[in-house]
Amino acid sequence: MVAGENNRKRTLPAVSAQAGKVLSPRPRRPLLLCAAVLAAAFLSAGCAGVSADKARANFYSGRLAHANENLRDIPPGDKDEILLLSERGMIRQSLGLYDESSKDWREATEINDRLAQYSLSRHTASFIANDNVLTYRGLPFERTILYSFLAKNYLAQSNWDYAAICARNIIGHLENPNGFPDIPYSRYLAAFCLELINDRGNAAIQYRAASASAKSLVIDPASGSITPAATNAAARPAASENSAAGAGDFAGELVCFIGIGKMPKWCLSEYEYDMAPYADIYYGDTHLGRSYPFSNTAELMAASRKRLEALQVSKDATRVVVKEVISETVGSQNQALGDITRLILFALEEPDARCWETLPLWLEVARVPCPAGLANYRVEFKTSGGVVLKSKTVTAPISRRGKIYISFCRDLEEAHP
Amino acid sequence: MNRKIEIVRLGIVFSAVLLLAGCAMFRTRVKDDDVTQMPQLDARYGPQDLRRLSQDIVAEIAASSFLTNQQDAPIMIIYGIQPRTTTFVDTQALTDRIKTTLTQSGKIRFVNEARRQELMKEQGFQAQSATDDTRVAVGKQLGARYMLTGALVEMQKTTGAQVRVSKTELMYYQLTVDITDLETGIVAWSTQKEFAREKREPLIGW
Repeated sequence: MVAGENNRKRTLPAVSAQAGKVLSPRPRRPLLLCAAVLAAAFLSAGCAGVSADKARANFYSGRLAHANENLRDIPPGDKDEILLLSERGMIRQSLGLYDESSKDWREATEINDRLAQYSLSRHTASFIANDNVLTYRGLPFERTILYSFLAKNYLAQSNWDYAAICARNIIGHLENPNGFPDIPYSRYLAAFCLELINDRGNAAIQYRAASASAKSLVIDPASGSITPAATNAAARPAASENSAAGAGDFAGELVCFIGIGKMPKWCLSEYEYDMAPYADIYYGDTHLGRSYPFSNTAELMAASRKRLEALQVSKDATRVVVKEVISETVGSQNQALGDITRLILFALEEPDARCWETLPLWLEVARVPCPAGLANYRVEFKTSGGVVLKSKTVTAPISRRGKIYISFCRDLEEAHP
Repeated sequence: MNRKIEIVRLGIVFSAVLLLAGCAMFRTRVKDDDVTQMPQLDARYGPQDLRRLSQDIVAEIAASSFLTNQQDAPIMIIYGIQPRTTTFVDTQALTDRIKTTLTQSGKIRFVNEARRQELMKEQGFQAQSATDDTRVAVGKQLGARYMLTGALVEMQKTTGAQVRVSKTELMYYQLTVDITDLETGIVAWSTQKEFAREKREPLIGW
């Protein structure tokens, strides 16, 4: 270390062979590097964090209108624009603003399509600061699930053709997984959307794929009916005195997409991501059936991050080396400035934890018999052991295609101002 | 050394001029475009395709034996063109153009969309929740003899994962339009149009 410092000091005063005089150390280069570091710090700070977190907190507290207001102005071109649009789309869907929600989600997908695969400026900055300076595009599972939720908007509006367009996008995403996890929930939703436009052949293919992917469930490719594959307590239909006798006589069929729980960051208790909760569905006092867990977003997140682990580790290592080289270069000219640069650069070291936080933890589906003219139904959200956590009566959205009634709901806090 | 200083000075002067003059790419610009000359910005279905396809379909219907054999202008009901695509194509715009042009020609009369919706509502159906049988029944009740339906199919191919600096996307579209006799259920006339387009874009951007 001492020898190194001596060497450095010896090389500093450069001697011009021609002029024969000692030149002063060039102060501009360290200043330029410092400016680059500050710019990187500025970039990484961003401006979206506060309002997004407020919106998420309001969303999970049931203050949906406030949450929507928090994200009213999303700056165009912001590095987190896709993330903010995804969050706002979810808030607006929960508010029943399906057109506005679809607009947000479609804009998010369009921005993603327009973005270059590799941005030189952003990726270079990410090697100086951190991955938070990169434009947020979401993990592959988030991009697929976005189409699943977009499809639900169109289902709520009885726009079967556009729901089928979402289905084709979901299938397109899942056909080339590239090592990322399959999403049985999205497969099932895609199959159902295709079933609604009478594309039964392709629907059957997706029902089969969903069945293969969701190992604890058996899905009939012809009808889309769901039965548990295992005989354990968690998967067995809940015992009900009314279900067998009453519901079996109904001519209609209710397909309900259910969201339970919050992304782990917002979870208050472990039940939410330990054992799969479920929802029992009632019409009056008649038990119609229950939902089955298809996907868990926390698991999808973990599996996706694992897939990217090797890439991320090598990138982090490279970034540390780049930061060290920059600090050394500045330090060779001015020791104090070098130390400050190192401090700033390594203080910027922060993992990219951005994710779509308003997604439900559990994505479930219930396909149960229901009476013709169904106008409302009651959902009881239960722990895996059958303890009722929450109950709500759903009146909207309920759309109809022939004998099939389509709806979705989530165990969110009741909306209040 | 002097040369370096000169280069730096030149750079500063150039940047200042650029800033003061205001580079065109940073300025807002609005201008009217000729709708017949609108450029194709990507490989996907766009306004030019809408114009071209509707014109071609109208021309074919107008010249078809199905229409020339009719004594009076037949009454038709439009049940839309199904977008079997991955992009959110507004096929309603396509049928609207076909309907408008054919109505103006006086060769076909169309059932009013609002009247159709009204009748379906009376019968307890949402337009979208109606099945094929319902749609035929409603068409007949509204006095229509024919029904126009169709599908726009899209197929997409992109270059696979490999070491490359650009991505090529090939889009293929096929539009099928059918006119069905509501009395007999037989397809009275049908046509297909197809086109393909390729787009190549860099994977690396600024």
